[in-house]
Amino acid sequence: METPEDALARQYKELCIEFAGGMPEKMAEIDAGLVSLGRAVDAPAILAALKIIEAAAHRLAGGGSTFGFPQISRAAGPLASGARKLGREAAPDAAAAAAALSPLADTLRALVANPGEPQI
Amino acid sequence: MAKELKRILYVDDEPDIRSVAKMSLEMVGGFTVLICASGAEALQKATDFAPDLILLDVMMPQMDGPATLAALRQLPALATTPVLFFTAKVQSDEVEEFKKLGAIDVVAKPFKPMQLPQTLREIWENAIKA
Repeated sequence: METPEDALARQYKELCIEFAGGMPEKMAEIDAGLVSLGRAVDAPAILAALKIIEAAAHRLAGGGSTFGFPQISRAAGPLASGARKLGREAAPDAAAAAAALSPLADTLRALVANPGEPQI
Repeated sequence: MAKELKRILYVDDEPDIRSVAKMSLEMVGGFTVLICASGAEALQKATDFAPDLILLDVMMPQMDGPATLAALRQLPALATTPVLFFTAKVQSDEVEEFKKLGAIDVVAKPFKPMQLPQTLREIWENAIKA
């Protein structure tokens, strides 16, 4: 008979795999945010793009460490905090923001493409 | 006899994290858990649920953890309910700041699902002794 601990371990593993399967979708949100950032012509559009990037990166950072992908968390955390910081600037600059965030996104994208097995 | 920890209100905007924490708290901890996806939802449901303990994510859109705590404290039934922040911000100065805001302690993210219920019980028991 399955104990609660066994059941949790089984379901947790399923959630880890599910999270890994959802990472490309979250990365796509980040990429869409970067595209929007590149096209943004005013402060509201820049802030909206930064919010998209921050939110998706934050989810990857939080979930990565929880579901056995600490390398994803380590790469997504700086992207989320970078987007958040840029969004607090009085006069955000789209080109500067994209230049600052794109390398972080590149690193994350490479890791999302090959996340490996969850470390649980 | 000290009150037993039974009912936990857990507020987190991340569905993935909510799922695993809920499983952990219910399946291993045996707690009755109410999950809310936002501070606003928690404010609507908390009084009726009457939690023994509230576990609050810190970084949430619109109403973050500290803002949710401040708002919950305005509800008479929840004015003194123990609150824990659930966050990756666990440097000692950050923990002290959270305590100044009214939290009894901080639970670190990432967390180990098997250990989360025991962590909460230990904090609960220490809070009762204090």
